[in-house]
Amino acid sequence: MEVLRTENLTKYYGSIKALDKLNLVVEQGQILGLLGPNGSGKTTTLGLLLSILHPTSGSFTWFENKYGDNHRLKIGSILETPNFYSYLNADENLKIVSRIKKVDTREFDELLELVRLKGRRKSPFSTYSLGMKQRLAIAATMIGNPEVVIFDEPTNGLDPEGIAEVRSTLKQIASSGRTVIMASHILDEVEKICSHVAIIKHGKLLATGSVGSILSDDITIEISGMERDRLKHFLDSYPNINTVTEQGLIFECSADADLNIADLNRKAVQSDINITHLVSRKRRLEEEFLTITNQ
Amino acid sequence: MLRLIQLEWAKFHKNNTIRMLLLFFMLFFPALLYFGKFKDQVPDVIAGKIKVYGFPDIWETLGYSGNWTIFFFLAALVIYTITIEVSNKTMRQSIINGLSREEFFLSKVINVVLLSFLITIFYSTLSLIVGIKNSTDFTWSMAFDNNWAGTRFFLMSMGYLSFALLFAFIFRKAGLAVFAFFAYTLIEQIFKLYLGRKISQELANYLPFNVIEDLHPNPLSKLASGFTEGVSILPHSHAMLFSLIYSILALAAAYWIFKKGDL
Repeated sequence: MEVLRTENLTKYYGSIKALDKLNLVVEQGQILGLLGPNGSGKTTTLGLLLSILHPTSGSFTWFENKYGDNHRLKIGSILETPNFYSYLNADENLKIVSRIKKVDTREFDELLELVRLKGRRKSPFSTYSLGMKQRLAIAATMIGNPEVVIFDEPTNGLDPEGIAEVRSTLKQIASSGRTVIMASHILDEVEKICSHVAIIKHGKLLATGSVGSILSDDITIEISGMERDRLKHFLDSYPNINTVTEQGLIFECSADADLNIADLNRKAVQSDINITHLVSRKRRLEEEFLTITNQ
Repeated sequence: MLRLIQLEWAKFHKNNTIRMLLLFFMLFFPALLYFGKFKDQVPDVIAGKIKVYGFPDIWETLGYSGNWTIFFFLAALVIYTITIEVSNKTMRQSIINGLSREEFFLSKVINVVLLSFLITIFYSTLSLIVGIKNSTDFTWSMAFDNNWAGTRFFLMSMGYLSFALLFAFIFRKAGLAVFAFFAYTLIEQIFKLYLGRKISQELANYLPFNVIEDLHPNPLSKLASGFTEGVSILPHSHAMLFSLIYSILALAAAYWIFKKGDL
């Protein structure tokens, strides 16, 4: 089933075009990473889909219109920041979410256990650290057993421990079979968790598809040697090496998938270049993302 | 509707600002009765014509007190119940979580209606208690011969609180909305003077806050019939009808602003 379909979704803020004819389809069970630099339109996209912003033109449909105007009752979401009543505690805030979602839940032991907030459930929200606030927001997204979960930069502003905790919770949620839409800058996290990506820049959708299809067949070779200038010249002229960039002491090369690393090593030695570091790996999503967004 | 009432209760029953504003209202509302301590100093011309604490004038005495206390305390309370949701971003989170904009707006209107209803009960109870204590030859028909005082009080509260709700949705920040609410009062007074002198005093009397205020005017104003200028109170029926119209218009405008805007 199509969980979400957008058709030419467009949003202007005055004269600024924040989103330009977005056409996106999300199938049930996908874990979609929404990637883009700051100001690319990710949060605007999510805001439109969650009806807190009005589109300038275009449309979107959730769950093939199965739930009509009540589709948001089937969606759990964190948009930008965790938003709760600062003078109420975790239980009281979650009760409010339950009432909105028309869910008759009065006990939140399991949820608070999942996000490790059970010990602080009776403290007012205003006393929570940022990590705790974020975890409460994650707990709130799970109320009502939503079919879709949306996270907008869920690890923003967290310390490494907070990031690790949120990451672990997200992986649990992602493995539960739900459809997940995650806007994020942390590309290696998206690569680990997501099955699909959509890359947005300046409000335009640049690429979309499975992570595997987005990542090109090119490989990345990391190489360094004693004779840097000679090595640079060697790499620049070597067939099937497409780009060479310097990353400190190491040259990072993008090469065709059929390049033979053993041949490269042998020819470098024949050219009197002593190789000190040689690694061949598949391209990371981050590298692909930078390539796509810089085009 | 019950769900929305339960939601609003869950949000605000522990909020200290709301509690304080309600407390101030409950304390200051009967405060006019305190002036009874100085009743020996009231000029005979007034003491003879107005039974401040007895029927039927107690309805107007306390009604006039409500005019002030609703304006200052309860309007601020209604503004706060909306602007706190903007500043906490819980307004947008409520929509994200699945509440429709119609439901969210309806919950705020229910606040206004319920609050108006409850303080009308409070006003009526207090008026009856004080009136019975201070009236000789008390009868129930005498007690309720009050020109629809309860209905006027309810409409007065609805009027002020509807405009407070409108200003809250327009300005979205508590300080700004409260300031604008008070500033509008002054602006309307100035405009009323201008309209009265340049076009028509009668037309000037139908400006929104003047209409609402005339539902429970100063009890002494009925002694001013001998003055030819500056004192002009609308008939109760006109004030009731037009305050109802203005309340509906204010709520409709607030709804339109909320519905159309981005959150």
